[in-house]
Amino acid sequence: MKKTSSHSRLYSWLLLGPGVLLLTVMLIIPMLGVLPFSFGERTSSGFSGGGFSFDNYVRLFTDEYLRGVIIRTFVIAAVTTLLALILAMPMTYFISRSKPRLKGFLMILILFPLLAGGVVQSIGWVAILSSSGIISQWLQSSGVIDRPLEIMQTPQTIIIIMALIDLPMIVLAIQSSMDSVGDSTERAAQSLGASKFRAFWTVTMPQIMPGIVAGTSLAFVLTVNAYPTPVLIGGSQVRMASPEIYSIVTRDGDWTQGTAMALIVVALSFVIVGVYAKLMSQRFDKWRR
Amino acid sequence: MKDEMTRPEQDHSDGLSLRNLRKSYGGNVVLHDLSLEVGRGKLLSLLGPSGCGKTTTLNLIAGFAGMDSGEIHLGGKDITADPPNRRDTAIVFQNYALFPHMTVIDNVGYGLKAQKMPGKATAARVTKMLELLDIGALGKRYPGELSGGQQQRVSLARAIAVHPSLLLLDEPLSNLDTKLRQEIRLEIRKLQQELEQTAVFVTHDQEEALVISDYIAVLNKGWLEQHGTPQELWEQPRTAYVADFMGVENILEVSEVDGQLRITGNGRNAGAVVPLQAKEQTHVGFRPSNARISKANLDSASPALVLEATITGSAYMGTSYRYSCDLQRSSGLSIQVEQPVGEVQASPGDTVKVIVYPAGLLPLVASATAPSHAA
Amino acid sequence: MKTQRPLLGAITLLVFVISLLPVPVLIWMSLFNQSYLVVPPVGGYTLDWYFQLPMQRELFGGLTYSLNLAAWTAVFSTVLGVLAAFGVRLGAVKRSGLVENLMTLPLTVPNIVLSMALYIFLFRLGDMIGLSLIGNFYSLLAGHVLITLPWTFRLASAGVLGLSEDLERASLDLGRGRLQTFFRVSLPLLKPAVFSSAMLAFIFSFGNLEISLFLVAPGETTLPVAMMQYVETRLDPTVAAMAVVQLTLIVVLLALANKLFGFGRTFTGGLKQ
Repeated sequence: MKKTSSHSRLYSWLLLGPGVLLLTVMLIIPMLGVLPFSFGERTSSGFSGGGFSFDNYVRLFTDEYLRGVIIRTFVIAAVTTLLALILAMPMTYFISRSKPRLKGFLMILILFPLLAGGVVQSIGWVAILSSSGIISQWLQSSGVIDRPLEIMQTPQTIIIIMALIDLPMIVLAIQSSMDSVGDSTERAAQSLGASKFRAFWTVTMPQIMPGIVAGTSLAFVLTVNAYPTPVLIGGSQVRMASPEIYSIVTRDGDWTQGTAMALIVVALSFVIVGVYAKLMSQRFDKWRR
Repeated sequence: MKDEMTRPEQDHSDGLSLRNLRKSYGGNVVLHDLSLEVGRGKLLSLLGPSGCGKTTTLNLIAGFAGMDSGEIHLGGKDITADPPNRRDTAIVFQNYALFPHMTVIDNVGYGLKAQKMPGKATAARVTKMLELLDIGALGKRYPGELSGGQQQRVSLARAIAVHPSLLLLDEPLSNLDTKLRQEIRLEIRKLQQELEQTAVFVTHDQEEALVISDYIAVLNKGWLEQHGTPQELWEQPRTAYVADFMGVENILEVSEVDGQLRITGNGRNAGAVVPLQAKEQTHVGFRPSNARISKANLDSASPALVLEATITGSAYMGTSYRYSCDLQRSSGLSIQVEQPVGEVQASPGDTVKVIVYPAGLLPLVASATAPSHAA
Repeated sequence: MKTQRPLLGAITLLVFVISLLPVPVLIWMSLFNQSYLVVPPVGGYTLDWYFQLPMQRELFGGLTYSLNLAAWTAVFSTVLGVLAAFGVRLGAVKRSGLVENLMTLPLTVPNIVLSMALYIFLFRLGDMIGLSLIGNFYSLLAGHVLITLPWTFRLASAGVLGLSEDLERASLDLGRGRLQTFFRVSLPLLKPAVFSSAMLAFIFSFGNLEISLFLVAPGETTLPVAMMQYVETRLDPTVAAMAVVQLTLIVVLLALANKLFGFGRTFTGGLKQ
């Protein structure tokens, strides 16, 4: 603990200044400005003409199509997150209990798709899964199917692909939890007669819950807000929030409607994740002081 | 170095038997051909500094690591291939490894539940265990609320609750302060004896091992240096390594010169004659308390070790004076002597004779890790 | 746990392979000697698409634009992050929690919403002062710096945390001023943190689509945006080649960072620093 003289206080604010300034001007103010904007009435140019109306928001509930997009987005995100969690668990366990050198290598490997970005990954998946893609051609040429493979633009496919894309996030979050919990309690459980699985489930899992909650929350939010994958793989058949918002703004030119939808989606995400985290904490964290 | 390991009066069919265990990590051999027996109801300490292989041995016994070759038998059964949860062993960890999200009661009952014991019986056993370890009042608490000593007891209770054929303790007292350590080790010993619980206790603390063990096995870099009762190890350590561990402060290298065993060291071989005592002897050792300073002239045919030395320092210890002495005929070597108050004393700078009678002389052979060791 | 875990290892391997599948596929495809996707490629393989990339106006323009943008983002983001990390360290302990929350705020808002909000804000601001503030490099840069700041700040903070006060005090004792101490003593020690911040900021900026969505000007797009637009109409070896170029760039940067600063070790502990 350093004694803070007024001198170093001054320096401290000087140093923090630029960052804080940027954040205020470029983040806080714009975000604050978006809310009133979304209540505005649409002008002919599409931008907000001031005024105040709930129309944009009401429409999100009454319009079947828009409502559908929102509900679909959240349902898909929920299933995707669950799937990603199931896939991530064995992987995280394996990595966490590996020797250090292998571990570092695996971590970088797992991080790689994350750093490559959703665009590149989605393009790759299109090449693999589209009706004229690799798998489709291979199945046709080997006679397994007689028509091109139609699995793109279905919710199932989006869920699976996005689960794979979300995977690294969850692995990272859970793995750090697993590392800090260590394996001694698990070994203790095993030495007392519990099978490997039982030991993991009853002893390690409860301890890594914070990591699991953090990872799944993050994955959920990322999926809700995803853009490239729903566009490229969902296409026009499976419309999700971000692509819809984008097209409302650019194609229809309706900025106020777009921002209203965006804000609702953000708000809903916050609420859902907040409730989820609270519930999980109540259930699993009683013993933490 | 083949050792006389079997104790004819012991029945080993129910205890632990380690046979020719060999373990390596990568190219590194961590355990060399380790064989040990622990009779039923006996406590064996694995004693040695870190890196000697004692924790590895424990892991092998528990089933958390596999060995390159060798067998482990427990209670007459070959458990070499069994996974940890199927071996009838239970571990007490150094950091207790209590389940932080469960109460003390649930912790202690965990093994019983895992082995599908019905609820009522489990509860009864748990209560008994808590009483046994004097923690009955802590049942509903969580590990986070307990002190180190209390956690230790819960850890013990949890392990004993499943009535294991073999209790493994991995330096369980290292995290406690000295006073607690001394108290609890006696309690552990008492409990172990009452329950006739076969146990293997890993420690680096020689005093601890001496106090609580039926047998001690001293390990050095994966080799078994010596194995015996505390008395045997204390009074008759066999190698320089074990002697050093047992607090024999004076250990001098010897070698044969012209048919006689002489003290050498620093390559010089003009030292005192050591009465020959053992085959392949490489060192001679003696405790400071077994050495005496004398200013008298000795009969040259005396069977004792006589060293000419110069006092370099002295310290008053209450019941004795402790002297540091430089050996005259082997420069660079020094020894410690504890001369009880009341006997002849000396001052720094004096030239004296240091005498060690045969009873206090310990012939020591090379450690297992010395190059001359034959497997 | 050194016992055999074949089943677990097999599952892990399977999931790994599947999730990384796009990479070899893209590499393979970029070598097809034909302009559409037929498997196996009838015309054999060629590297031509790579050589012709500079002639692909939209894609190549996107590449150069993104490289430039990411580089500047890395610079600004790292500088701001390091300054802020120091600011926190020097300043009152009370405020540090607040500052840290502030610094990670951009992470809580979806990038696409941020992009919209920035656009609206700058558009209206520009309207008010009579200038066009949107659709240019600077607004885009601001957005990119914004979303990478939480990461650079976090990494810089971790690095600053590891700085021993004694070294700084010794330097001050010996007569160097505060500024000199910073440049001669603290900064060199921070090299690993600074460079990995810059590297991360670069990579994140380079690959990010959403923040750029509303902020790009017609004709001047980032690579992700350009690729999305391209793929809307066709999927051919050209765009695959560009994707491979992007991946290669990332691999090179990661390898460099790992070699020089043990980047991989930063992540073996997970991202929770």
